[in-house]
Amino acid sequence: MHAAWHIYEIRHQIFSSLEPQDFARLARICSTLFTVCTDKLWARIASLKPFLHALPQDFRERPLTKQDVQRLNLYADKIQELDLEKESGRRAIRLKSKGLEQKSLKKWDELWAEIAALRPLSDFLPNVRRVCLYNVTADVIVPLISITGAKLSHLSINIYNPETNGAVCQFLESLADTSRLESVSLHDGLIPPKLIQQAPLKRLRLNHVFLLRSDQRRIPLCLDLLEKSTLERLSFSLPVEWCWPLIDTPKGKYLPRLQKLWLDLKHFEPERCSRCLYTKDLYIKEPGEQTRTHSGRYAPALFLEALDRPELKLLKIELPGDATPKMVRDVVRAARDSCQLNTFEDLTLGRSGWYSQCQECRDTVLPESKPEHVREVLSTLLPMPHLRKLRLSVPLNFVDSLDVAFNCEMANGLPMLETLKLDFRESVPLHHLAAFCSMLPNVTRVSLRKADYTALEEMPREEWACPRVQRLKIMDWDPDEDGEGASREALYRNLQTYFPNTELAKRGPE
Amino acid sequence: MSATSQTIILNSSDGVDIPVDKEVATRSVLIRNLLEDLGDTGEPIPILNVNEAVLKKVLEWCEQHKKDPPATNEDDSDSRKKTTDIDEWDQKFMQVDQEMLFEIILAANYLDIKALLDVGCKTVANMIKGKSPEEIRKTFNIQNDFTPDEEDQIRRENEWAEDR
Repeated sequence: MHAAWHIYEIRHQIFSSLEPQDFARLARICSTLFTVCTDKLWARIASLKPFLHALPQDFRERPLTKQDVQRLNLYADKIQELDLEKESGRRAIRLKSKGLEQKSLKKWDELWAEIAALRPLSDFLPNVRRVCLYNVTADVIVPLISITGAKLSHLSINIYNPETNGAVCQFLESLADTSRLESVSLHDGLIPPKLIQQAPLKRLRLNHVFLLRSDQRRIPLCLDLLEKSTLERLSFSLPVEWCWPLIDTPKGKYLPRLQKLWLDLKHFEPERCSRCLYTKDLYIKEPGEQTRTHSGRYAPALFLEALDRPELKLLKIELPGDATPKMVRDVVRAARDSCQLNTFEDLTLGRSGWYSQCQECRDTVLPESKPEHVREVLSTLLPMPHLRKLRLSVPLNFVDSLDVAFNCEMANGLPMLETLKLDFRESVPLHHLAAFCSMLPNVTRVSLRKADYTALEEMPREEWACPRVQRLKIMDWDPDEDGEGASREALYRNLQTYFPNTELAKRGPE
Repeated sequence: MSATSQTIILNSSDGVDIPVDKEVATRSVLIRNLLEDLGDTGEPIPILNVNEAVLKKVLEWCEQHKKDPPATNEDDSDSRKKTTDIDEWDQKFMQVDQEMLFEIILAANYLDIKALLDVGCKTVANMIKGKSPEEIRKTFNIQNDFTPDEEDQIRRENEWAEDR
């Protein structure tokens, strides 16, 4: 064997061009290559199949011995990433271990209990740094329960089957050493408080997650999160139960190191209209009405007010579709007062989760937002000298009536703004969009959901041209769909006048 | 032998002075850093780990690629690493005996010429792909220190990778 094989950098470079099956063959060449190739091959495992291959062939038919699990231990020590997730789709990963289901043979749980007896599971997977579980079934999690997680730094769990929640919680509860755990992402599930309290978390993404106390009570997350002073990135959906009496009220200032915050308020308001919430007393009321919503809970703005002036670079707030102007105003003011706006680079004030009917009275619920509300809210935040990306959900007629003074205020207050995304529910006339964007001279990317192809200008106005815009993205780009009365030539004439340097304009009518 | 302003002299490990265009030699990060740190004194630069034959071969590659843009971080992306495509000139350049191929790789690693190291290692990777363990042993003259049972056990333990 040439000496070059023994130099790590050279080996690494050769291996970087090889596929897993090449490593499997190289591992059989000699003991030196066995070690380095299996280190590489087993570093990232994407199914449980390899574990079964590391056991003796007759592992199902007879009791295992210490010697039998030595090979499993050898390989398990090499695993750094465990990525048990489907690349696409939501079909649950199921074990493909033939024979395990047959009555006369060992069951899956029995197999792992047997292995645990021969070697404590706490010694299993000692070098694993990253665990990703995506839509797996509970039996996939069984081998992981009781690993210590001493080197675990990244944990991502997305479970769509409620029956798996128990196993996930058992796994999280059993992690004895979370001293390196910096990143946790959990969707739809339960999390033990000690994991939040003890791990030095920097990045946390929790959607519809509850704390599971030792008495098995499910508690909505609140103060435990705010008290996590190490957090730099937080993505969190504020639960409906926010600040019920069973949750402690935030009293201090929190999260001083936060850099990025995604706050989902869509599920904060239940699917009921304001009238029903007022009259039917659906939620517990307490003194201090000014800090409560009409339903008696604390306003979502309180979450933002509890922040300790972090230097946020990204703030993304998703509001419910029927958020009242007051709710929007309160939330935005709280953000302004509790964060340092001069560091914002990316801001989203979105609205989604529209629902058609109130769950109580069955009335249709419509958003109340008006252009002047959006303008008022934006003016509250200006100036934001470093903001590069702005995404706003705006009412239909937001760009229809030009407000020159407001646009000048935006242009002056957002000197670095490059990307503007305006979410309308309905289609927007191109010339209205152009008139609005032409007053924001540094914007190079514009995006909207749908253009109104029926409202085209016969003589597009040159003064509304936006030559700096390089990219115009229209989500539902289908000029033929409702193009009654609109010719493709007129559409492209408008595009070429208003957004001459975009791909859409250059494409021309086919 | 003294160097002209655009020529420097490299002294190989077997004591041979090799004059070379500075632009060509500075494809090597090691030589570029040496010249920046010590200045261009006109004295031969000792290349301790590379003999004359290998150094000349490496400089031949550097001459061919002297106008190539410098490597960027994007070049290290996984998508590029997984491909074993080698351009035609480089393929011919690498048609040498195996001892020379590994010496070029060692020299590229020592002299810090990333693109040459990449080409050399891709050539080796191509020699591995699609071959059975026995063929690989023969190709690289590697002694098998496993018993047949041990080798069979390793095959079984890692055969899941064949499905990936």
